[in-house]
Amino acid sequence: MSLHLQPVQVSTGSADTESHLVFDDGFLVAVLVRLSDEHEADAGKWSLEAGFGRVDDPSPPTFADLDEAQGWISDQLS
Amino acid sequence: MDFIAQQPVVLLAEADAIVGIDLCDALERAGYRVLGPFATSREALSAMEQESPTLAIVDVVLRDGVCTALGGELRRRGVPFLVHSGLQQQDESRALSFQGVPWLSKPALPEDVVVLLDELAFLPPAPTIMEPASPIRLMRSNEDTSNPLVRKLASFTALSEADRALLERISAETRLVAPNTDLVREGDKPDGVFLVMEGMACRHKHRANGARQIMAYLLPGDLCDVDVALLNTMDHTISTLSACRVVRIAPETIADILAHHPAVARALRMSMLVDEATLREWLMNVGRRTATERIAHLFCELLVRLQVVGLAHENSYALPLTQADLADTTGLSTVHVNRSLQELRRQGLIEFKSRQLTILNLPRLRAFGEFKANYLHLGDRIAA
Repeated sequence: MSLHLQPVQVSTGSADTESHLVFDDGFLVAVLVRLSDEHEADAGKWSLEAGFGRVDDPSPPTFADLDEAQGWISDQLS
Repeated sequence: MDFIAQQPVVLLAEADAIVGIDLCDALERAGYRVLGPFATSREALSAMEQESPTLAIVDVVLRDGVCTALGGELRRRGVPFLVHSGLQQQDESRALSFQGVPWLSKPALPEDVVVLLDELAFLPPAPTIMEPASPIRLMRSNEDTSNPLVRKLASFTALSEADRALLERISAETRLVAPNTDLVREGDKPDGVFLVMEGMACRHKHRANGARQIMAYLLPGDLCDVDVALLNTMDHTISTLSACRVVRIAPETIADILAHHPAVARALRMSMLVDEATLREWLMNVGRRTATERIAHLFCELLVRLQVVGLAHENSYALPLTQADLADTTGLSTVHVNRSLQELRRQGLIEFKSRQLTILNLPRLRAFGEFKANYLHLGDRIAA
């Protein structure tokens, strides 16, 4: 399985805007948003802003980097 | 967010200059803009031609006589208003045209006037059928004790000196408990009733993956499950969030109170009804409000609950919670909690520094979170 990332800007109502759409085999499975400096200790981490289907999670995790995020998304899909 | 940006305008018709200035200050501190104070109906009516107020406070007798015309004009425009007057609502023929209007006897504390006005601001525009809001009464009757249990229960029903002494006695033996300590766990056999006297505790449940949902906050004066002795096992866990002073009240003591102290028993039953009503409101929060609305609603609720037990001052209170605690309370991620806090700060509604929450604009925060204190049944002695 290989994931494809597409950079976008997401309007989160906050300073967190730098984002990626995550596609799996052409299907949108997740939106990742990079946390801004407003998040202090978590600044720079990636947050699962939205997950679709099996990637949905009521307690959305944060990831140190995009690799970790993709690993987690792949685990959810496998 | 447009609603937030609208500052409510209050028309103040008050013959006494000193009272007018005091009220004006209190209203502005609470986030209202004041038209006036006007000493005569003529001035007030003339100002209304320039700008229509959101709400109004009027004395029945102004310098140019009974202000029947002003009352009529406010009604015609659908402006909710309250009366702050030296006249008695029921007894005076001059007060006749103001029957049914929320009424405060002069001199009321400016804070009480603000509380009643806040209530008016969020009720449907039908001032003629509204009853005076009641929290005002309990704030006064309760100021003679700092015991949060007494304060809380006295807010539900009249307590005798003997009742108060009994409550003081059962709440005297506190022990200090560290933060994040379980008082009783899901699956345990209940052993007495916990009473929080200082700090904050919560009821919560965990999923197998560790995710936590907090279902209730236990603030000073709050008791857990008076009838818990009827159950064989706990269906949820009760833990401290901050350092707490708690009391464990033996089941026999509770049984004795319920059997022999009717006023206290009544207050305890009221308190359980309010716990259930609060849970319903929290369900509304997690199910049907946006992230920022949930936080706004919660902060408004905590203000009222802490005011009852004398632990909020000038719309500010200690909030010994982490963002993770708030997230687990409101069904949000810490990311969303942080964004919501930033948003409320940006709007000038709150300040949250060093575990101290200050509500900078209560009317707007209440409007934004659609907070109505009715479910807390404060001083509502009729409903019990």
